[in-house]
Amino acid sequence: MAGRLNRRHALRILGAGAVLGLGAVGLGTMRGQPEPKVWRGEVLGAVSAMTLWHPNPRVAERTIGRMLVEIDRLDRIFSLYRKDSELVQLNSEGRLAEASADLVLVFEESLRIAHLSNGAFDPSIQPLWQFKARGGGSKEELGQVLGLVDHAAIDLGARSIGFARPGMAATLNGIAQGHITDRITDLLVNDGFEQAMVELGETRALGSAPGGRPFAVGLVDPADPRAIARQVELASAGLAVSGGYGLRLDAEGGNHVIDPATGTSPGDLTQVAVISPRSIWADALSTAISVAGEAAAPRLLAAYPESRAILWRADGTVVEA
Amino acid sequence: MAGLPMMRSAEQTPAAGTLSPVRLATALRLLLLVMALWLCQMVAAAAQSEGSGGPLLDRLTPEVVEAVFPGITRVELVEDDGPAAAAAYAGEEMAGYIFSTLDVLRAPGYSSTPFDVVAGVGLDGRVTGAVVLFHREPYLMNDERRTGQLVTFLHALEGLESRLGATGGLEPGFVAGATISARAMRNAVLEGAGMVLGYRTEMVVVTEPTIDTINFKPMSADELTDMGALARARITNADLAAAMEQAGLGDYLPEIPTVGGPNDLYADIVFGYANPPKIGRNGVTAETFDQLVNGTPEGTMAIYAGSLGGVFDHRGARFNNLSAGLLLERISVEQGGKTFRLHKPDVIFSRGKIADLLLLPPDAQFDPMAPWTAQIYASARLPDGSLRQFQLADLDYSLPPEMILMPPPVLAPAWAEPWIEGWPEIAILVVALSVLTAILVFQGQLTRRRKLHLWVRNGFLLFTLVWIGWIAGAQLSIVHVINYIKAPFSDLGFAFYLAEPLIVILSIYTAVSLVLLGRGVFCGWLCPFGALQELLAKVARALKLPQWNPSETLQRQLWWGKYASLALILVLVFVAPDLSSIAQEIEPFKTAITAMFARALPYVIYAVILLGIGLFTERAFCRFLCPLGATLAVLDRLHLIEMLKRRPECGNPCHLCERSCPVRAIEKSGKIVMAECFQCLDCQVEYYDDHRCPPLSKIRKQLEKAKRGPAPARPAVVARKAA
Repeated sequence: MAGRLNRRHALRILGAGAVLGLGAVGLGTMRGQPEPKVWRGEVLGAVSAMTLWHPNPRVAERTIGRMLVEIDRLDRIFSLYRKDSELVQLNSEGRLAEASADLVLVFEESLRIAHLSNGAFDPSIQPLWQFKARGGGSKEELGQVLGLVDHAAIDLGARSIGFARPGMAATLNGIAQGHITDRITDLLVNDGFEQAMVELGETRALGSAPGGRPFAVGLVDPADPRAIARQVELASAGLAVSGGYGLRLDAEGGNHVIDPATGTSPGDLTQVAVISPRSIWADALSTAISVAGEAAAPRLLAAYPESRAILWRADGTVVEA
Repeated sequence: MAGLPMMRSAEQTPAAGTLSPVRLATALRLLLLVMALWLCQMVAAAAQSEGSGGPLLDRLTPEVVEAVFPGITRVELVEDDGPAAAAAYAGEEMAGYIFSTLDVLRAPGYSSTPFDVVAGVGLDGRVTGAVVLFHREPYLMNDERRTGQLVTFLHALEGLESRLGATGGLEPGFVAGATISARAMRNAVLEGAGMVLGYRTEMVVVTEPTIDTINFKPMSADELTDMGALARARITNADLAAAMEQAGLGDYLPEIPTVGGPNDLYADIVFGYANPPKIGRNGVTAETFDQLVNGTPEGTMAIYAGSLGGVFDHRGARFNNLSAGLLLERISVEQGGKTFRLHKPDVIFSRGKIADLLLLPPDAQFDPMAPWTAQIYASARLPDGSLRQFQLADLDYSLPPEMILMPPPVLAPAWAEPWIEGWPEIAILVVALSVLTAILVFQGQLTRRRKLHLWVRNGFLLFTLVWIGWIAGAQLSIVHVINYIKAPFSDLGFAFYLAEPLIVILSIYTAVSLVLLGRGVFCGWLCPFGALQELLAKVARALKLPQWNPSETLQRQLWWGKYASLALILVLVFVAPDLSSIAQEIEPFKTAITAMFARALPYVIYAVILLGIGLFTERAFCRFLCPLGATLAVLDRLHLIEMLKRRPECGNPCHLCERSCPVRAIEKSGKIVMAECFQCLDCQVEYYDDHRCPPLSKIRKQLEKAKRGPAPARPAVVARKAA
């Protein structure tokens, strides 16, 4: 009697377990592979996108809405085109007593790569940039402007940032985008997202593409920007590309990668792609290596864990470092 | 490159610079000129083919200028620190700016090479045109159809407001196959125009409606009259006769004799508020207007009075007459019962034009935003030679809205967007929470009806699971608690948390209910995973699966499990943030609710095991493992109101509720451990059930006995006796 009852119980228990498992799997497949939710827009003047995969599309939509709130906050810090942004205030007043932690962090990262690269990456290059964008000037003027470019003259405190010389100005172009990209990716992780492609000026993959394969990102050929030179696989990492093929600033072949020491554009490498766990590192490294050249690449990369680079030489050959 | 030097300011022209030492031999000069022109062409050609920045003026060929800003005769580089732009002039009048998106934004499109779109923006803030000079957009190159569409698309930007997000024109989808490039170019033009103009005009920031004293564009008196910026009296000889008739002067002649027949014009007088340049500067001569701007005290108001035709003008002649008090006798202005008469010193006269500015000092108590009236007087000559004034016309005026700058509409803060966009969800949740509040407030009435309680309870749990959990994805989780704890130390603005309406509303409701009633309101009613467990447990019981619950002593120990999991998560959050996200997987919420089991197998197995345990031990996860439940249980000690009713007999001798409690939150002593209570109200249903609650049942039986009374009892006894 007791045995029969137990067997019946056991069967029921097994049955219940099986139904529960099947139910869960059934619900799971009903949801199926989620459609990505995509947002497109501008962040700091760059065409940007966020692609989020989440089983519940409403959750993805609402998360995008929340991320835009954060992007808006960061834009108020880093934009060079907002008169009230922290960076513009810093540039016009030469000092900020109460900078946001984000601005301090980006300056910290900028100065770190500036020291490591002996100034090949230099956030204080803004005066030179403006000089070049104005169309240049005489040798003396260039010398004067070069005197304003000195990362060692940036005083960074725990909360304050200041320039040691009047007339200095900073640009965080690229590295600020890297920070925003990292920031949003971190928030997505915190929100439980496992798959996302964050392209807010820099590219960062959270997890891998649907199907478990890494995201495939095409890198253009610096000699022919219309052609994809190679694909890199990106999973849980950031990618930054620095190349001289973009904008030509002056007739002598100068481009948007400028050597802060000389005010000219280096000719050693035509394009540098860096893959690094954090976008801010990837951007810092790609810019620094572009300027400092191939020889400096291994040393710079060694300072940042799990970072590697693909270098395009002027002669067209490609090497990995 | 013909016409290029015309478009450059003199010091910008290399040719001029090279030529200035005039002492060179003529031949050399000619040679140099040729070389300079040739170089200039080379640079410009290079600029076009390479899409390099290069000086902006070199890219502004006459064709480009004509395309982006029709009617412009001259462009001149603006020398300031703002976004690079060239000022565009129509004759001597500045009409707006021409800029290149490459200089201003360097915005890349689909390819990472920034494109160069040159566009114009008028001083009225509207785009005047745009053409693409250079791009490397892969889906546009060598594709004539798309390139044509792009040209049309950019052309259609004309007239759009210069700000990102402006509506109108063609959709980027018009350039089929190159939508991203088109959108990027459109946005770059709109944003660049806003930047170029915004840097150079002060108009941008007004905090209250302000009269537009900045913007100017040439407009005719007819245009201004049509838009209401001028009040105009066109008086014919017939009108004059009628006015004189009305004044009782029909028998006399006017001071200024008429010319022509009754339909000929006697006077054509306009009035308007002159401080907006569109009115004042267009009305009087430029020098006269400059006197108002630069030669009068700050805050001086001016009314423009002009006579455009006819024989009668608004000035008269006697304002020069000291004995007449230098009064402009033919006009007056009235507002709100106050009449302003104008005297010669109050007037800036135009030369060569009968168009004057009538000055009102800053303290004149004249409100230019409010309506006012202008009176025009003429005189009739009486037989004795004296003059009698009469009112010729009366002009009502109010400044048209086009002349008033409005403060930018108060933009909703970024966090408000989700609240506006998500209103249907918010409404559903608010209704649900109102229902829940009603359930809790009227729990006495509800729990007296066992069936109703069962339906309401299961119905609400189903709603919580399906809608809150699976559809809206609003499962509150320990992650939210951690975020709120970390909030003061992180830089994320308050706005970031506010941008999640459902979670914010649920959190507030949970916090309030926690303080008032205890943790059970959230755990028992609003937690989707809790609802899933409870509903499954009910199915399990209906299927007569064996139920198991730990003894009271063992249960007390097991309860510590959830506090341990909470402690583990909290420690990891601060010690090793990377590991904390793994610890947060203790909660199967993400797997079972937000992701609806569409996750990696290990997570699904874990969730299914927890749910499986729940079939035999109801809400085992909630009671023994849930970190969020632990958080609420810790804070439960603070709750203020005890709504669950007890009787003296509860626990001694009666143990009915103790056994009926699905989560065994009632101790042997009869006391409800509120930190473990899920407010399911099952015990209250028993409490009110006079067939099951022993003390109540006893009373009921006594009452029934009393009701039946001794009467029916006696016959029975009698009957038995009889038997």
